[in-house]
Amino acid sequence: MTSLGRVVARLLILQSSWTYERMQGVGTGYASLPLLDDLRADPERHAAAVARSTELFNAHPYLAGIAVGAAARAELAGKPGTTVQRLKTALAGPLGALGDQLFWIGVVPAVMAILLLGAIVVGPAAVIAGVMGYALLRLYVTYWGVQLGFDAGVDVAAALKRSRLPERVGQVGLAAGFLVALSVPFVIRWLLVPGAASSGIAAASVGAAGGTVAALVRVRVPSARIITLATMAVVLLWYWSVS
Amino acid sequence: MTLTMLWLWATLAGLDLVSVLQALLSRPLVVGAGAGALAGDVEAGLRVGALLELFALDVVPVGSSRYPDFGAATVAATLIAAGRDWPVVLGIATAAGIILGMAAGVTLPLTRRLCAVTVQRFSDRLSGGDAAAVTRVHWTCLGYDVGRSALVGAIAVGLGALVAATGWLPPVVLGTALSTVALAGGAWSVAHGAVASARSGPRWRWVAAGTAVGVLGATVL
Repeated sequence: MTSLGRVVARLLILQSSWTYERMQGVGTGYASLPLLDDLRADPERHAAAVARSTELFNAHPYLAGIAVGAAARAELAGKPGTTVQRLKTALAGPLGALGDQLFWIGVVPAVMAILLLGAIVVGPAAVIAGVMGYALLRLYVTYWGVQLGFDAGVDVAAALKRSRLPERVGQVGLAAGFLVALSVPFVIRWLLVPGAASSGIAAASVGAAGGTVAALVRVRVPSARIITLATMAVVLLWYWSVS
Repeated sequence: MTLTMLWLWATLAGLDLVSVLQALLSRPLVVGAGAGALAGDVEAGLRVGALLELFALDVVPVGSSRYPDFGAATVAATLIAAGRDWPVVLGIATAAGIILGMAAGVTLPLTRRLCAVTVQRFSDRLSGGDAAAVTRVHWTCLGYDVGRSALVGAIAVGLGALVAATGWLPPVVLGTALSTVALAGGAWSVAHGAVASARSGPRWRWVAAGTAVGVLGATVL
C-alpha cells in the first residue's frame, strides 16, 4: 500500500483516540506517520514533526485529512515548526465548520431521507445500496482531502477555495432540508397503526407542530426523546388507572 | 448463533458511531434493517429503525457534544418487535431504543476519559515525537471503544432477547396508544431538527416546500 493509501486507511479510524485534551491530536499524529517516514533519516527532525502532529487538533473527521496532508507537506518542505502549528490551527475551525455543515447537517440527513423513502418503496435492498454508496463517498472524500492537502502544503486554503467545496454547502443544505421534510409524511403514513390512522395523523401533526415551535422559540425545551418517554409514562399511568 | 450475530452487528454499529469509518452503519434505519434480517423479520427492523431514525435526525454528532448511541439500542428494539404484531409493539420497542440509546451515549465520554488517562501516561513520549508511542496510544484507545461497543452490544442484545423470550405483549389498546405517542415523538424530533437547521437563511423555504410535496404525495400516492 502506498503512503497515501496508508494515511487514508488510518484516517478511517481517526477519532478512536479522541480526548477532551488533544481532541483528534493523537489520531492525526497516527495518520501522519506514513507521510513523515521520509524524515526518518534525520531522527531529531522526525521526532519534532511527529510531536507536532499529535498536538491539539479538531476538525470534521472526513476533512481532517486535508490538514494532515498539508502539515506533512510543510514538514517535508522544512517549514519552521511554528508555521506548521499555525497552519493546523488555522485549518481546524474552518474544516470543522465546513464538514459539519456539509456532512452532518447536509449529506447525511439527505441520504437518510432518501434511504427512508427507499426502505418504504423498495425495501432493505435500498438501504444496503445506500450504505455501500455512502461508504464509497466517505472513502473518496478522505482520499481527495489528503491528496489536496499534500499537494498544496501551506497554500492549502487557496486550494480548498479553488475546489469549490465550500460553495457546495449551501446547495447540499437546501437539498437536505427539502428531502428530510419530503420523506417524513411518507414515513409517518407507513408507521400509522391500522385502524387508528386518524389519531396517528393527529398525534404526528401535534408532534410536528410542537417540534417546530420548540425550534423557533429560544427557550430551552427538553429533547423529543425526553418528551416522548414522559408522555408514554403518562399513557401508562392513565391505562393502569382505568383498567 | 443469531444472538451472536446480532451482538457482532451491534458492536460494529457502536464502533461506526465515532471510532471506525463513521459511514451510516450506526444509523438506526441501517442497524434496524440488518438486525431485522438477522432476527428473521426485516419489516420489523425497518419500521423500528425508521421511527428511531426520526429521533436520530435531530442529533448532530459533533466531537465534544454528548449524543445518544442508537446502534445497539436499535438492535434491542428490533429484537423486541421481531415476529410480533408491529402496531402493538412499535411504541414499546421505540421506548426501549430511546432509553438504551441514551444510556449507551453516557459510555462515550467515559471511554474518552479512559483514553485521556492513556494519553496522559504516554504524554512525555508523545511530546518527544515517539512514533511507536503514537501508534500504541491510538490502538489502545481503539481497543477501549471496541470493549465499550461490545459491552453495550451485549447488554442491549441480552435485554432485547430477554424481553422477546418472555413473550410479553402489551394489551392492544395500550400498545397502540404507545405506538401513536412514539410516532408523535418522532415527528416532534425531526421537525425540531429540520426547523432548527433552517431557522436562518433560505433553507426554511425548501423545508416548507418539501413538507408540502411530502404531505401531498403521502395523501395521494
